[in-house]
This record gives sequence, C-alpha cells and structure tokens, in this order.
Amino acid sequence: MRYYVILLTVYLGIDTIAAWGLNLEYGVAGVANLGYILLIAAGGYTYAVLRLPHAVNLGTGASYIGGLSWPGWASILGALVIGALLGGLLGLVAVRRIRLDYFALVMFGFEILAWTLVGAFPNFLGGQQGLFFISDPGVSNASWDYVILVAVVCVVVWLVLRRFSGGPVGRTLRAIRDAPAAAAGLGKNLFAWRIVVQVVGGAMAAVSGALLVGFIGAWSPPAWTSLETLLFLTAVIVGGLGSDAGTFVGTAVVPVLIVQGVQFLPAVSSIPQLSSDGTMMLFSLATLGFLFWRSQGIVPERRPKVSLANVAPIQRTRIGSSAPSEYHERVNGVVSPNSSPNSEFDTFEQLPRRRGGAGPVILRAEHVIVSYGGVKAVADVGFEAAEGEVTGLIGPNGAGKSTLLRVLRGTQPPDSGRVELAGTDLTRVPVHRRVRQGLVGTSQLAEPFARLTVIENLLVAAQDQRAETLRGLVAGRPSWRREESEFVTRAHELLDRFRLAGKANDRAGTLSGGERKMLDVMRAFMARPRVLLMDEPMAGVTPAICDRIETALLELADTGVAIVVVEHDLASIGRICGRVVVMAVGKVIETGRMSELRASEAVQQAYLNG
Amino acid sequence: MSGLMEAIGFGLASGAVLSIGSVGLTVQFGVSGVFNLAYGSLLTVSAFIGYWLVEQGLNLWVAMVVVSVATGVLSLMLNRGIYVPLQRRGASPLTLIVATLYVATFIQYLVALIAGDQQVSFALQAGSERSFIGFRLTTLQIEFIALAVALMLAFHLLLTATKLGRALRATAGNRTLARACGIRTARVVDFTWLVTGMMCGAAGLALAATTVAFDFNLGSLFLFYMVAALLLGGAGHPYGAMLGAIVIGVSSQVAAFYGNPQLSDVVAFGIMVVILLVRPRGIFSHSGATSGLEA
Repeated sequence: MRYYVILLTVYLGIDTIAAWGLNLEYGVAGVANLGYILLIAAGGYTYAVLRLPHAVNLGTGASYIGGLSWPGWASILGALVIGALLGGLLGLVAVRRIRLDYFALVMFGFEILAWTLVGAFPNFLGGQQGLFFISDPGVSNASWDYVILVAVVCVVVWLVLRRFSGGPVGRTLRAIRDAPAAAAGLGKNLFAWRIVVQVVGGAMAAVSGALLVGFIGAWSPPAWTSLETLLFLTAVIVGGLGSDAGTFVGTAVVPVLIVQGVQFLPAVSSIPQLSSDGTMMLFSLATLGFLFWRSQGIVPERRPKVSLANVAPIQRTRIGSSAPSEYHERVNGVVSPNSSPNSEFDTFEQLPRRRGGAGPVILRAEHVIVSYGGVKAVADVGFEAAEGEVTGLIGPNGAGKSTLLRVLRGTQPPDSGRVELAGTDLTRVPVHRRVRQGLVGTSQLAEPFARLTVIENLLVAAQDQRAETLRGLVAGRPSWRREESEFVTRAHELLDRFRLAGKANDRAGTLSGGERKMLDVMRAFMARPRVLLMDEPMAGVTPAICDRIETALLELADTGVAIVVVEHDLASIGRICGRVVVMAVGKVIETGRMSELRASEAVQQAYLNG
Repeated sequence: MSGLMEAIGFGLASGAVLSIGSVGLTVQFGVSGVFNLAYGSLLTVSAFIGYWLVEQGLNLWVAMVVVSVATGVLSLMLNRGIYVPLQRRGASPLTLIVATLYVATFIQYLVALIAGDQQVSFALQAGSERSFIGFRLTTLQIEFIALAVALMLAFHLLLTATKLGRALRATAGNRTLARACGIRTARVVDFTWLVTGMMCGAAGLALAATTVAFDFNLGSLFLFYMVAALLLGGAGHPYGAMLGAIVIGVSSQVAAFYGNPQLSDVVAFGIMVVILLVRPRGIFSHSGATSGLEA
C-alpha cells in the first residue's frame, strides 16, 4: 500500500510537470504539439545515457551512445538542455511559416519518424527493447525521498511558470493565441515567441522524462507512443486550457487516478478491470464532451483583476528608459485633454493646436503595384501622409484602398514599389517591426484578444515592455513594476476617454461590435503610433461611438501623429480629414479637401460607375 | 536492375492505393476546412467491414461498392454529427483538429474492441503474377491501379465538367462568397464528405486486400502516408495529392529495395519534412493560393 501511494504521488508530480509544459504550449500559446511525447522521451533517453556507465561496462549487451556515469542532478540538467534544444529545433523546423494546424500534423509525423528511426538504428538508441538498469538520480526510488525530490522540482517549475506565463509574458502569449494577426499588428514577433515557448515546453517535458526514467530505471520506446501525448492533452483540456491549477487537477484525474489508479483497483476490490480499449474510448468520449459542453475545463483560466488602486503611485519623473524619445513622449503621451488634470501625461495641452495645418510628410509610398491573379488591385500608386493630419482614403468598392493600406501596414507584400517611413525604407520589413518603428494599423475586422480582459488587451499593446525581455524575466516584477503602473494608468485614461472604464475587467470576448471597434482603436493608441493606419474604423458603429472615435482621432492628430483612414462614411471623412485621396480601379484619381472633392466630376463618375 | 523495376512497379501499386486515400483527404480539407485525423480510423473500419464481407463469400468488387457506400455515409454522419456542431460553437481549426484526433482514437479502439487485436489477412487469390517491362505485379495489384486511374479520371471530370464540380471549387475557394452566389454550400459540404468518405472506403479495402496482414492500427499508420502525400502536393490540391502519392509510393518502395524495409517509412516522412522546410505550401502550389481547388 505504501508503495502504491509513493508510486501514485511520484507519477502525479512527473505527469504534472509534463502536462504544464503542454499547457504552456497549447493552452497558453495556442500551439498544439501532437508530438509532445517525443520531447519527454528525449529527456528520458538523455538522462539514461548520461547516467549509465559505458555500454561495455554494463555487460548487458546493450549498445548506446554516451554512457558517461554522470551524477543524477547533472543528468537531469543535461536532459533539460537537450529538451530545450530539441524543442527549439522542432519549433524552428515546423513553426516556420506554416499554419498551426499543419504544425500539429507535422509534429505527429515527426513522432512516427522518430520511432521508425529508433527501430532502424538499434545501436544509436538501444533499439526497440530500450535501455535498462538505469540508476536513480542519487535519491532512492523506493522511498519517500523520491516524492520529496519530485515535489521540489514541481515547486521550482511552478515558480518558473509564475514568472514566465503568469506575468506580462503570459498576457502576450495569450494574445497571440487568441488573435495572432492582431498581436503581430501590435508589434509581437509571433515566430520568436512560439520558438521560446517550444524551448521552455521542451525543457519541462525533458525534465519530466528524466525524473520518470530515474524512477523506473528503464527507457523503452514502446512505452512512449502518441497515446501518451493524447493522455496529457486530455489532462490539459479536461483540467482547463491555459490554467496551471486546472492542468494539475486534470493530471490528477486523467493520467494518474484513472490510468495508473485503475491498474491497482483489482488488487483492492472486485471491480472488473477496465480494458485498455475501453479506457481509450472513455477518454476520447469524455474529452469530446468537454470540447462540446465545457471547453474551459474543470478549472477555467483566470485573469487578474487590474485596477488603478493597486498600481504603484507614479513618480513625477520621465517614464523609465523604455520611452522612445522625448519627442515621442510629448507627442503621444496624451489622448485626453479633459480627463484627470493631475495626470502627468497631459502635457498635450501645451502643444499648439495644429488642426488643418499639416506637418512634414512622414509616410510615403511610391509606385505600388499589387495584382491578384492578373487583376491589378493597386496599379502604380503613390501615397503620402503628413504629421498632424488625418488623411482620408476613399473610393468605391474594389478601388484598392484596403489593399494599399495593407501594403503600408506590411500585411500585403507589393509586387513592386516602395514604402518608407521618415526616410527609412520599410518595403520588406515585417509588420511587427514596422510597429516598433511607430507604424501601427488596425484591420477591417476588429479582433479582440477574446479571453483576455479589456484592460489586458490594452496592456498587451504597450511597446518596449521590459517585462518581455530576458532581463525583465530574470529580474522579476520589481524591474518592471513601475513601467506596468504607467501602462495601467495610460490604459485607464484611454478607457475613460472611450467610456469603457466600467468594463475594464470584463473578458474582451463579451464586448459588443461597437465596443470591439473602440477596443481596436484604443489598442492602436496604446502602441504610441507615429503613423496610424485605420481600415474602416467607423464601419458598423452607432453615431455615439462614431463621435467618440472621431474626437479621439482628431486629438491624436493634434499631437503630431499622421493618421490615414479608409472609410465609406463620407460625412465622417469630411469631419475629420484634411487631405482626402480618392481611388478608383486601382488608381488615385483625385486629391483634395472633401469639400472640393464633392464638386469633382471625376469623383462623382467613379462612385456612380463603381 | 530488374529488382529495381520490380520495386518501382510495387511503388506504383502502393502509390495508386495511396492516391485514392490522399485525394479524398485533401479534398475534404480543401472544401470543409476540417483536417480530419479520423480519416485513418474510417479507413480501418472499411478494411474490417470489407474483410468480414469477403469472408462471408461476397465478391471483392461487390464488397468494395458496399464498403464505399457505408464508409461514405459514416463520414457524412461524422461531419454532421460532430464537426459541424463544433464549428457552430466557434471552435478554432486547431480545436477541430484536436477533436478529430479524439474521434480517431475512439473509432480505432472501438474497432479493437469489436474485432480484437489479432492480425487478420484476406484469403484472396491475388491472381497470377504478370510481368511486363520489368514490372512484376499480381492481377489484383493491376486491377487496383486501374481502379485508381479510373477514380482519378472520374474525379477530374467531376471537378472540371460538371456544375457540382464548379460549386465544389467555389466553396473551397470562399464559402461565404459561394453562398452569396446562390450555391447551397451546406449541401456541397455534405456531398464532399460523402464522396471523400467513399474514396476512403475504397482505399481502405484496397489497402487491406494488398497487405499481408493488418489489425486495428492499419489506418492510423496509413494516415501518415496520406498526410505526407497531401502535404507534398500542397493541402487542398487534388492533383498535387495524386502526384504526391505516386512520389511517396515509388520512393519508399525503392528505398526498401536498397536498404531495409523499415527505411521506407523513414524515406516517406523524410521527404515530407524536407518539403515542409523548402516549400511549406507543397511543391505544386503557387504562393498566394490558400486552396488548390479554387485555382
């Protein structure tokens, strides 16, 4: 009995570590790794060959590489390193440019490939029969000491997770999970983050595998099949995707209580043992049931409540080193002239009003051509936007407005042409790097990060977050607390301005269409743009919300930001725009103020024909 | 040299069976957007139903028709009963793929429960061996190659020469737009699941009849050959999948001829990995197209 308790407790700890890793990859970052077991097995194998003596000395006839007789702790660390490397490598191969559902498949394929290789090259990995007589890591595997060892590792992993996916990084990862394109549009490097997650997840899987091999003393390929990945996946889905506590509960229920526990049932009772076929069917049905009726799992993912009350008071100094420049600070610090007068961001009111008076050109596109299957959507178009001005881009449907805007944003590569921001060529620069240079855009579809709160949606958008850097992660909360307070304050000012403060801690997925549009605009503001590109910000919103958005845009322009608006609501364009560019069939046909354009014959013709 | 030709002939035969399966899988994905991992399990089901029917004394070709229809209906029910409702609940493509994995597991172990975990094999007369231009194939293999060619031709005609085929391509390209143009997309999707299910059934029986022995794992392994062929041709491209299947079939048999038989799996998946590295959208796709059926 004592043996069973030790066994189950150790399995719970080991499985929890692995499940946490999978939860980080799938639940938090939204990358389904169907070959996850590969990383656990790699960790186990690494531990085995580091811990085992040289093959000849073992005298079992087994053949393997390594055999270094390392101490237990070093072998576990070695497994960790190999797991991280392998995770990163597989991530590099598979996450690269391909869709995430492909990734799931490819990892599945990798797994099959790996076991085929194990079978094909017996001398390399010990073949199908595996490796035996592997020593425990210096802690007896038959005693409570092993339970303590596993518990300590669990606590360490938990602490690492708190720091990594529990803080602002977790917020960013969840944003990428909920709406990848929108996250990239706010400056997040999806590729880099996904690789980082694969590295961390791989390390966790490998440590779990090493502890398991250290416990049972053997490594055999047949024990590690895709069914094991399925069990961990079930634990994560049933427990609660994205929730570490939920994952722990799910692990306790699924792999431990049911799979391991069931094996001991006949020993203590007369219940007939459930066949393994039946168990797998039961799991599948249960998980499908969860996906249908309770996709959030037993313990749903929780998000922190963020309020002004619990942020540290802000010092009256410049806002840390992360602010790009004095100018930027002055220019973008404020959107709201009327809100809290004691806020230090209200430097805005000292600026001269520049409505109608455009500054120098900051964004310029030349000879842009985009064709879709032979049809030229944008045919040799030039475009300019000046600081401090709202530039309108209008035209009938199919004129190429949105396509041109996408070229400027970087979501549509042009066939030819050039885009430059303040003299720097950006034509080949990806979206997320344009954002860091101050070129921020919103897409036609307002895509909230649905499972984050409204205020978290805004916090994600803040640029140059120290919490997202390696230094910030290592140094922990003290190093970014003040910066975070500043972001929260700024987010609250925006929420006040758009009258959404009451919903700050609601999930963004619960917002109405108009509120989503405002959230989209607020996120873009939060990123402190120098140039803001908006694709139909007023589409489908009520006049009241339209008014809020218009006012906010005008005030942002007054601080020197160049704004480009594609919009069908010409009345709205007339109210906010200085210069208006009219496109039709892929060409610019007129440029001028709205009042002049209304009288233009060519513009009227274009609208009538379009 | 003659050995090599034999290997190529074997590769063509296995590529033919593979092409029936992978064209079905790729079209299913292209039209409905669901990457159905349960396709392999359905293939297993069809193999066992076919095995049982032939054991009862039914002619192989009659059994193939029955099995195809049964698998087609099953496939349709799977989509209507599970995947469509899940999509309606707002499940992401990733959630769907995970769901199909569980459906696959459920069906696979249901088969194991009913049919047991023993290996079974068809007591078929494979027919006399024939040789020409260095190939040595059994009558059965030649018949299956002919079947594959006929099915591919029929499918090509369906896509290019019928109204239904046009609706199919339109739905694959842009479902919302297709619906706006008056195409009953829900029906097109139903039709797709029925037809691709039938192809799955035909492939399953053909595979089972030409392998030495099989058990409830038959489809889950073969699924990866189909996925490899599909990725090779670019997901959603029926013609790409045909070619991909031939490439994988022949190269894995040739590899088995030069190395040990296990090497054939390594080569099949190795090709897949290399293609994904060099051309993530598949060799036969041109960039920009999201789905081959629309072009």
